[in-house]
Amino acid sequence: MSEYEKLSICKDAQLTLRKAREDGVETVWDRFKKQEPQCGYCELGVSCRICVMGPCRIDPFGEGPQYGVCGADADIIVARNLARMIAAGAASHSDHGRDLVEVLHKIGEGAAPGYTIRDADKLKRVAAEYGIDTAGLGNEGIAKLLAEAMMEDYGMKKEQITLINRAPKQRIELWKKLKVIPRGIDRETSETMHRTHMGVDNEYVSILLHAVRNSLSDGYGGSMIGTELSDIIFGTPKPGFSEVNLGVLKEDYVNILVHGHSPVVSEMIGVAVDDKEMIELSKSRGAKGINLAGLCCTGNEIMMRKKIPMAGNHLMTELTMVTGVVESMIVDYQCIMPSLGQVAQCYHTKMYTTSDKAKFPFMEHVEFTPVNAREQAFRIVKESVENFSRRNKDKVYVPTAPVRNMTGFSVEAIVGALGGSLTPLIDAIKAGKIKGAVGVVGCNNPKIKQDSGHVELIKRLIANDILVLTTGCVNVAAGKAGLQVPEAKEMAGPGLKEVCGLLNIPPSLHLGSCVDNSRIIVIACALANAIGVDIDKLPLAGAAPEWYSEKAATIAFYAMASGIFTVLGVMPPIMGSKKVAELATSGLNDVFGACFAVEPDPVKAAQLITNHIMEKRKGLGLDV
Amino acid sequence: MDAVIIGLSAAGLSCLDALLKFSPQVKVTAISEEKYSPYCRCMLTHYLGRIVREEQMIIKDISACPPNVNLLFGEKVETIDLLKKSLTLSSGKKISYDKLLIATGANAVKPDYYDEKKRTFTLRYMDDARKVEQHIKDSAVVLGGGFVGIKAAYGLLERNVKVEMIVSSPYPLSLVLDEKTARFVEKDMRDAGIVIRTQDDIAEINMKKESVAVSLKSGIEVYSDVVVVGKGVKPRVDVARKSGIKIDLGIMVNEFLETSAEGVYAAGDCCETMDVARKVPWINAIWPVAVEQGYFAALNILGANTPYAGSIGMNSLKTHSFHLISGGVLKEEEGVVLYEKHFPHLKQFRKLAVRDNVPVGMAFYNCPEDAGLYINLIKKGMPLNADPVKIVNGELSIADMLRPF
Amino acid sequence: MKVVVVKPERCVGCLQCRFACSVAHSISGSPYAAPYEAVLSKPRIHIGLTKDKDAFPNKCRHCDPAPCEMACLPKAIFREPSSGMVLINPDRCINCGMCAMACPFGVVRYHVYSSNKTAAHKCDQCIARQKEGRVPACVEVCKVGALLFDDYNKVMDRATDEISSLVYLGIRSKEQEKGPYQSLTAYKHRLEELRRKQA
Ligand SMILES: Cc1cc2nc3c(=O)[nH]c(=O)nc-3n(C[C@H](O)[C@H](O)[C@H](O)COP(=O)(O)OP(=O)(O)OC[C@H]3O[C@@H](n4cnc5c(N)ncnc54)[C@H](O)[C@@H]3O)c2cc1C
Ligand code: SF4
Ligand code: SF4
Repeated sequence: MSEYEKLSICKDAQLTLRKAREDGVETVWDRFKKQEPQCGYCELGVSCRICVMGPCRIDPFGEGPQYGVCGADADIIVARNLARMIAAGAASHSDHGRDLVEVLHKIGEGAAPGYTIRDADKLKRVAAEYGIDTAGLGNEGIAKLLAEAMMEDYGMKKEQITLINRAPKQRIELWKKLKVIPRGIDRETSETMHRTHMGVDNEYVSILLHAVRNSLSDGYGGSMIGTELSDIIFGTPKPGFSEVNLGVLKEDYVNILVHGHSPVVSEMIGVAVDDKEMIELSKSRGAKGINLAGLCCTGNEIMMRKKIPMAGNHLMTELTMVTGVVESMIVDYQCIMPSLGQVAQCYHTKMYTTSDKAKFPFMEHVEFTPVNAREQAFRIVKESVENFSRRNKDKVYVPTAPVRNMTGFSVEAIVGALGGSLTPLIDAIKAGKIKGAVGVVGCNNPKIKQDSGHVELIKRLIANDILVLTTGCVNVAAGKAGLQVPEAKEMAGPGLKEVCGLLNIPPSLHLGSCVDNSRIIVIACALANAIGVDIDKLPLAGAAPEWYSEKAATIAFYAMASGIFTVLGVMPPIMGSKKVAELATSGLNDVFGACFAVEPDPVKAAQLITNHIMEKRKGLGLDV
Repeated sequence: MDAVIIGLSAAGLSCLDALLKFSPQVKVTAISEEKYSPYCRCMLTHYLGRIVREEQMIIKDISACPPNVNLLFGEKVETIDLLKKSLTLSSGKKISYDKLLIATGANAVKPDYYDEKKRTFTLRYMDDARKVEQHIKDSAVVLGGGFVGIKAAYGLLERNVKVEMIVSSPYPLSLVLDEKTARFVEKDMRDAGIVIRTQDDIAEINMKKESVAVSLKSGIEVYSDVVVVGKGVKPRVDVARKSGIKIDLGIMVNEFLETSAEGVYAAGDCCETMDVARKVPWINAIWPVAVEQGYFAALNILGANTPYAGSIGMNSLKTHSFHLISGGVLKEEEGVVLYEKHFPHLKQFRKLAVRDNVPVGMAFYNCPEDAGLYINLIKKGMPLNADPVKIVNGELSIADMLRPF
Repeated sequence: MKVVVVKPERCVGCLQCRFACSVAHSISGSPYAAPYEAVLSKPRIHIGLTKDKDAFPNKCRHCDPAPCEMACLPKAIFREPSSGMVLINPDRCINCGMCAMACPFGVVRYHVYSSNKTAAHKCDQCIARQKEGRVPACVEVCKVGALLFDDYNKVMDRATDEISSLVYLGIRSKEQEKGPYQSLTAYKHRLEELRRKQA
């Protein structure tokens, strides 16, 4: 096995990694190696730097201190750290959602040139959920009212956030009983920061219950708003085909990459690259045209809606530039490695930051607002095209040919594919053709051979007739492995294969970006409501085999709190507290009907999940 | 060169090992009066307490010795002929040497009432321990509050034997410790269940039926299965004395551990070297000193001319409830300043005796982490570069002491 | 032979070495599982604090001659011939505490081993890892270069080795005229010479 085969299962990654080495580019894997072995206290979550009486550490081996300076023990420190992780994750998704609320508001005010309402039906549906009387109002009018109602979700005017009502009654009752219904999206994050300040909440269960509330404020709040508004503004995705891997970059085209999470910038870049004048300009520079491709969740957003291809997921972002054919990369926020600007220095790639929240070394800042977005997009695309002539022919290397990937499975699209309701899906589950469904979500993490966790898990699940729903970086992994085309049904078990064949869909469905995990929640809620049971009774599970980010921790928490058993492939920093670890891996079951498991081996994880789904089927009186 | 070693215990064995380490081919003969493979006599108390089995006391695998090593067990050296450079053994055999190490150790002091028929024994050799072992059931009287007595008492406790200890001085360990430190030990011993009768002594011992009746000078009578006497040791210097080697209390040696006879060295409990703390020749009859002297004797036998810097009395007493490390001299004396600090909540006590900025004695109770450094400073007569008050307060770490180098 | 060299002036007090040491000597060898073992694996490297609040990594110097080895009654402490490391055999140890008394560096502790026996406990220079061609865990984890793993000959007269021998052999300062040894180097030379002569 070559050195590079140990790092990633992807051919394109292995080949470009070798070139990166030759070109003297340091990658995330090199840096990871230098960090190893990593801090044991932090791995266990028993280091605390919340206050400056500290920093403190608890000695898990009993010889050194057992209390921080303030008196916090391992349980308190682990719980506080975990809660802060979840707050950061919730803040990230929710702030992303807020940007869409702002765009919607500006559309309502007629102050967002270039943005419109693409899905007016959905606008009305969601407005109805918010109790907005839409009679006699145009799209703009509704947009303004809905945006304002959502702003209230962010604030403290309401007793509970609106979309929490999508959950089944039983779940809502349970949350009420536990006092974990989120009241305001920003409020819960603020309160987490307050509670975890030295000398506030010092009871680990209480801290963690609030962390649950904070995560729900994301799952049913910030993230859900992000998804719904993106659909309303940019169109609700419909199934269709696109392509993945580094091969989507085209040697004779101007290649522009969009990276980050928000569709607000990338959608507009998409408009600019389709512009005739721009295409003419590129031809005048010797290119055949302009090729736009995505990375990470920005890529997922535009792939879902516009079938724009994706060059890669998290760990591929640095390697894209190693191909030497990327004229520019435009980033918004989240998961953008600060090293990217440095890598670009080795090539001709121009780097642009677009959000005043997210600036990076070695990148040019071109600030996007709903008002100036169109103009800025054209400026960047023009500069990118002009950059084509600076390309160094000797450094060009596109390692592989792209792979087809089916995408666009919004909830609406799935229901559409099923003929207008979830009933056929429920019937298939009842009949045992589909044993259950699993959301395989999350990131890449150099601690795990890139994409190996995702791909192996999905293969095993679909072989067991379990339908897989992917979001985020998992989409690219599954796509590259050929698991997200209708022909992949051959890899599925007989029941799932039959259903996929009938509907002409892949056994692993791409649902979108990481805020779009809210789509999985919406499906879970709808299934539960349709059957008339709580979510924890359904044959569902979640998995984050290669997660790395705080956002993933938050997602895992709201999935668990919704009643979905979740398997993590990377150990969260909680093992330093025996009590928190016990709670997470079993105690939560008694409270939420779901808990976590940690299993880095995808084969074993698949087994765990399959067993869980069979248990749940038994519980519902279904055949296993 | 033929090297010969008399006595194969701490000092003799250490010398043998060092000779072989630095000169694997050297021809060595070692003669031991005892019939056993070299064993550690300090563990006799552990043996009595059944903490270790007999075979666990063996400290040398004699089968692994190279052919150039000749070991004679159960043979006593009767005389040394310094002129002919030869030895006569009890079997009549003669052995000549180029270099000789006398490591004959010491014998236990036997008081007048010592009588094995009255089940009164000392504890020095394996044979002694076996005799005690034969008679002991569930009670014992231990005579003497020195280290050996205390170790014996704790050992016997381990096998659930009721122990009464008779101490002639007002408190145990009076020869090495000051009263305050000793009282800590005394309290721990009483808490552990050892009955201690201080300022008392044995008047008479008689057998009454199956028991030994010990009449004390105070009039009390105590019954037990055996009496173990720990009243100190006497160096074994008879053979050396007969041959004409200079003897004081023990065999006298120069800084190269050579006796008055050329090519004849001495080490261990039989030999008197400079006591660094007392600044007079002294016998510090303890295991580590014997090992060290054996090592340095070997270097000098091999011609490396390595002077021995002297020793101090020191010991470690570790039980389930405390760990005491003491060394040097702790008595009040002219020119000596004593520093001490007790931390009751930590059950820690540190005491340090300093003369002219040089530490000469210490007792560290339940702080083994920093004890070794001061033991070594005392042993080498090295000046302190820190305030002794801070040292006993535990404010200075080993880092502060080692740094200036 | 390679040894761990301590550079106290570079230590930032992160305690990583202590953690890594515990994990390296645990049964599972995993940072996540080690704190859950029935007998917790205790660290063999200690971070002391100077009076100026500087951290001072302190561990066994594997002295030669080793005072602890000389003081150990049952010869539980021995020098492993192939590596030259001073090791403790916990099965032989009688927990007498003599080694703490003898060690000038205060690095010996008494802990329960996974066999449930309490015995003396100190650095073994990760002899098990070394056999697998890996450096000691504390060295691997130290990100600031306070712990290095270097050739014995190269560090013979480096600071830590000097301190150890100086204290044990009673050399008060390198330049000292009087006293048993002119200098540490002279003593080491003498031993070297002896070895050569006899070989
Ligand atoms: C019960 C007990 C507990 C102890 N506990 C400790 C302790 O905890 N810590 C500590 O530091 N010390 C302790 N000691 C003291 C320690 O054992 C001695 O200091 C040490 O054994 C001295 O070693 P040595 O080699 O000088 O002499 P010895 O050990 O006395 O050995 C001398 C050997 O020479 C043999 N011999 C003598 N004369 C002749 C001859 N003419 N021919 C042939 N052979 C001969 C003897 O039979 C003996 O085998 C303890 C001693 C005893 C008895
Ligand atoms: S540093 Fe201490 S434990 Fe290590 S060899 Fe030296 S004396 Fe022994
Ligand atoms: S405590 Fe153990 S290792 Fe230390 S000297 Fe005693 S027997 Fe030897």
